[in-house]
Amino acid sequence: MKKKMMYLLLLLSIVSFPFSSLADTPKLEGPYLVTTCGQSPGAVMVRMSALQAGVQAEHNNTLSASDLSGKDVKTLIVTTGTSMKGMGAAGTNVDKEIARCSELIAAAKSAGIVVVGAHVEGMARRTDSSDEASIEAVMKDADVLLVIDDSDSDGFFTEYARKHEKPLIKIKDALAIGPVLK
Amino acid sequence: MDMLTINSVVMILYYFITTFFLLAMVRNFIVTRDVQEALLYAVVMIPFVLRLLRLK
Amino acid sequence: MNIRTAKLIILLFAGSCAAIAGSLFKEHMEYKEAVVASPFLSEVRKLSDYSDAVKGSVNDANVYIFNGPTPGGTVVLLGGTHPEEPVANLSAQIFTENVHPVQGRVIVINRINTSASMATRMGEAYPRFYHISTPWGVKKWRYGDRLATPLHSWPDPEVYVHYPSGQNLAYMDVRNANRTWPGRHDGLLCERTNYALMELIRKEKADIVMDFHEAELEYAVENTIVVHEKGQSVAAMASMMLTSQTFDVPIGMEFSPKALHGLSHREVGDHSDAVSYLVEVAEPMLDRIRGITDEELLMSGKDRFVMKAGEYKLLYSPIDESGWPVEKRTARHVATLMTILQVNNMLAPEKTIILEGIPDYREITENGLGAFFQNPDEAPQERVFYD
Ligand SMILES: [Zn+2]
Repeated sequence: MKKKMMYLLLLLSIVSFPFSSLADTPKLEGPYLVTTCGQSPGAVMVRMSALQAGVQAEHNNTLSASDLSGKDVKTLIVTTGTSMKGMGAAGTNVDKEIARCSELIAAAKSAGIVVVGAHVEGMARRTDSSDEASIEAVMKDADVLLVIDDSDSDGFFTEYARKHEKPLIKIKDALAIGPVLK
Repeated sequence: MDMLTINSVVMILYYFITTFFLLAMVRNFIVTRDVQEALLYAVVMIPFVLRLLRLK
Repeated sequence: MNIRTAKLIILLFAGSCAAIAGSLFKEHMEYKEAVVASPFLSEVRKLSDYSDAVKGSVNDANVYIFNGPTPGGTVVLLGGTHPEEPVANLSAQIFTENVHPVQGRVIVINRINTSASMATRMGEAYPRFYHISTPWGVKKWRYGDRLATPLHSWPDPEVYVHYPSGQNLAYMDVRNANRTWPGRHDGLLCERTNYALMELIRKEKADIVMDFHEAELEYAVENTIVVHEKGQSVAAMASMMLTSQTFDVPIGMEFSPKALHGLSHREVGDHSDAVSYLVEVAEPMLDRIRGITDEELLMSGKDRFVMKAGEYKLLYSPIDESGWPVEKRTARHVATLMTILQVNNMLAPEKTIILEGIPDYREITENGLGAFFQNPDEAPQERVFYD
């Protein structure tokens, strides 16, 4: 009996493993559009990492809902975590950023575009209330979460994905973004 | 007159002010009959002397 | 004891205090740092060769120029902007003493604000010197302040109005060589210094300018590359590569704010064709919360008070028992510049700069810094200079 149970468990784990990983890491498809919610360089990093993997990802830090019309886009990636220097440079603030991105995400969804909420700059972009606000605003509407190990070092995103039943793509670091976009 | 010249003039004036206060302290040091006060004046004079010698 | 005897004793006591302090300050101020330029040195110029704005001033620095045999890009390295950040001038000097340009050119200034390295910050009990042991003996550098000394630039204005933006900055920042870019010809010492540096950058047609710094762990802009928008792709790629492949503590990236004036990452990019980068690394010595302030802390970067602040999540950089040793800090800066060049060579091949002879991250952290400084007593004298 015990042996049978063991086999069953083993079988289950073998069978369920590919399924669960399939559910957890959906295949992302281009063409990609990248922006940032908080003017941190995360979006530039996504573009450069994609470029290195041979994938084109169009990048615009001030992308708005109206920019989507007439564009052939399958996936919109919005990076989260804020930069005071960046927002200062762009003459914006976290509330304006969230308003822009919420509108953008709503428009993308109604156009059938997959929305990826990303956090790719590690714990350095999880320090203050602005970071938290941008993460919450984007992640709640995202179809998929994309984070690097360092960003999830306290398990925040794993827990968030589990609680909100969203698929989570977790990668080692920002250089590993490109390969998952292939 | 350029900015550096004006600044140099003001700087020289500062050295005169420093000298003035140093001399005032020297005078107080000489006239005081109180040992504690004399010690205080002597110690306070140190940074003024170092500034006049352009050491700090 | 009568009052006259007491006064005589007091005067002797105060006088010897002043004499000891004065001679220590004088020794600090007059100490010259030996630099043995690499055998690939093309020439050494003075900053005043580019503009008379600094002629005759203490900030008329040595400019070390290394031309490679094949034309390519030009990189300018600025060390010693803030002499209380020793890794800035050490990183620059690693290049001065070891670089072998195979393609393109390197121009290094080990200390752009010499005045600030001639006295330490008042009231902070900083050590005057720091030392690094090498295979041939101990090498010594001046430790300094963030600002040019008031002996060379005084008085400060009530409010420092930045030229040419007109932005109001704190009064003492007129002596801060990273608040006076792009400088002005007839301004105060640091404005003149930065003006001459801008002239150098323009006349030498620099493509990349790197300004080395260190920062306290309590400061939000930490372990990061701050970049002018012209260099965002290169900096993003470099930060990802270094974080992924080289560093244990990640290096981030920040855009240079457009509205914050006087800083190299903004003004150098705006007022020349060069792309400006500034890099920061953690220096626990600069934290307000630090414990005993001595050379040991400066070099080892170990401090239990700063660690305690970390436990309470008050810091923007990790720190543990191993601290932030000077080797690791310098290795990060050297590796960051080399990676930026590597990425830049890919994205702008017409501006290729290939440097050999520069130790990598591993070599510096494992062998220490001493291995990369040459003995000025044994080196050919035409390659020995003093900063
Ligand atoms: Zn600095």
